[in-house]
Amino acid sequence: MRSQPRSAAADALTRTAGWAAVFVVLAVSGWLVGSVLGHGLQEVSWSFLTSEPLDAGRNGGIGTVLVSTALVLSVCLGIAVPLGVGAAVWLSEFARPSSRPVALIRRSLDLLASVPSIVFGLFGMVVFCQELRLGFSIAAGGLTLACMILPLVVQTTFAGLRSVPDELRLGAAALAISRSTALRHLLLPAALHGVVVGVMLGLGRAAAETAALIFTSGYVTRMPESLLDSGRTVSVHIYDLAMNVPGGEARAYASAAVLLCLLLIVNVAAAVLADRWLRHQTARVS
Amino acid sequence: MGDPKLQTSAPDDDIAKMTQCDAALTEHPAAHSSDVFRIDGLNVAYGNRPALRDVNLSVRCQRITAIVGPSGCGKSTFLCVLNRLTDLIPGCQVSGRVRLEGEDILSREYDVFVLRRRVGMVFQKPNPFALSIRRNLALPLKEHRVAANEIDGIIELSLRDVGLWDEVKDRLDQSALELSGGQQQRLCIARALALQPEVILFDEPCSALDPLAGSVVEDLIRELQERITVLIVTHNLAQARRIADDVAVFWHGDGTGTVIECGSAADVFESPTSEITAAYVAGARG
Repeated sequence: MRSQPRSAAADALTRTAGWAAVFVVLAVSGWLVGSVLGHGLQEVSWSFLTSEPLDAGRNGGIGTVLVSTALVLSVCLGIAVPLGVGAAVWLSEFARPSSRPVALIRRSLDLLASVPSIVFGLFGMVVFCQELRLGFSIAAGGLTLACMILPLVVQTTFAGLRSVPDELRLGAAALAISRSTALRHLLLPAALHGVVVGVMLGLGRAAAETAALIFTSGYVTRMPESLLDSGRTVSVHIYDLAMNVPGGEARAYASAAVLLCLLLIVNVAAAVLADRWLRHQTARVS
Repeated sequence: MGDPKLQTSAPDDDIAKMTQCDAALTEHPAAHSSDVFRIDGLNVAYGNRPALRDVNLSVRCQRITAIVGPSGCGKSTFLCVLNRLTDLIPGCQVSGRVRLEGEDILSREYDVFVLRRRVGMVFQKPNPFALSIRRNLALPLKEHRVAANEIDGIIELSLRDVGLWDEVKDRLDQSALELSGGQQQRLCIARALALQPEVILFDEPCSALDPLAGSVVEDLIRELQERITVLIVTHNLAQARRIADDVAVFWHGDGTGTVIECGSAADVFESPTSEITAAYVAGARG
């Protein structure tokens, strides 16, 4: 009987500690976002979003930088998402979970996910820029980022697929529904939220990357004419303005505010699209 | 607690009576040409761990055969062998002979796609797909290349068969997950029926439902018997008494399941030949 007040006190302590942790996390995030938007949004205008950087970025805008960023991220996601989802599907649905190759691949992915981005940058420079002769280019930068986020996409998609109850697989198999049909109509839709989270995390990491891109896509600010042109992404632009350009802080904040808003918009759009697609899938008359 | 009568593993002499099951079958009307399934010397193991040993059983056409026995004696494993869902379990080895109307379904040549269309299965926990009610039935039909203009008719017929049509006819495009547990289980039965199987395997279909929903499903199974052969695994001896024509009692000796008695429900329940069966049906064991 004496333990009851003690357990109530422990519960209260746990609850308070939990709330405190949530408060600290929210406060730090809010401070960070508020500071960036507060300092940066006043510089953001339509001409800032559409014009070319001038005077090493102190003047002008980030139009060409945004185009380069979009191209680098498109190459990155265009390679990483199909490869990552395909690998996760194989690992989850076709390979024997306890087999040695699967254990080896999963361990390699864990290892790759923890490799610092500068190492990927050096790898990208040697393999894509030099060996494959892509030079400092958007293609080389996108491919390097694809290698970097691939483990993340595989791991989150794999986790999403494994969280689908086995009853669904057995139910489909008992009706002689093929694995490919079950994957397309039942398993991948059920795992879609996991896939979207993985892709968004990967996108966030890729969009925030600087070290790997300085070595691979370069930092030229002019408008790229093809994927083989060099291009500067927003994160590289922010780094350059903050570190190398005296008087560039205001434009660095403005660029950071734009990057933050873009990531927020893409995240919300992906979640809304995934929900709509799922609703459509549920009700679609075959 | 120390009462030897409460032990759950069968003594050797009772296990030895398993062979009597075959003898009983020979005298039983089951052992003639109207057998749908004929199982001889079936052994199943998960890796090095045997799960079923030397199972011999016949299943009569258009009858309800109840599989009863304590937990862990291989009843569900046995059911999964009959439509080769065991193929999906890594490390599961099946040997012996299982003939469906004379054809050995365990042979490599036997098309598992055809088998699962002929032998449907309904699981303990309702497992509707996260699709609309209509698509839950349409997806397997499309997979089995049923003509598009026949699908709506089959859906209506199947839902009428399980008494669900009037409840759902106005919301066929709503998610099946919005149905109650009992309705979901009837939908799963309708989904299995839509493929017009010759046999349906029920793995404790009422145990996850409330008593009222369970009794609706039980009545439904009884009605199905007029045109389909039914095998039902149940822990509920009263249910087995109510609906079964034939009964097979599974038991485990040394951690391995086997059949210790089988025959007509009247024989098994009123004059069992095995002491274990007598104690089990009297409620003293298991």
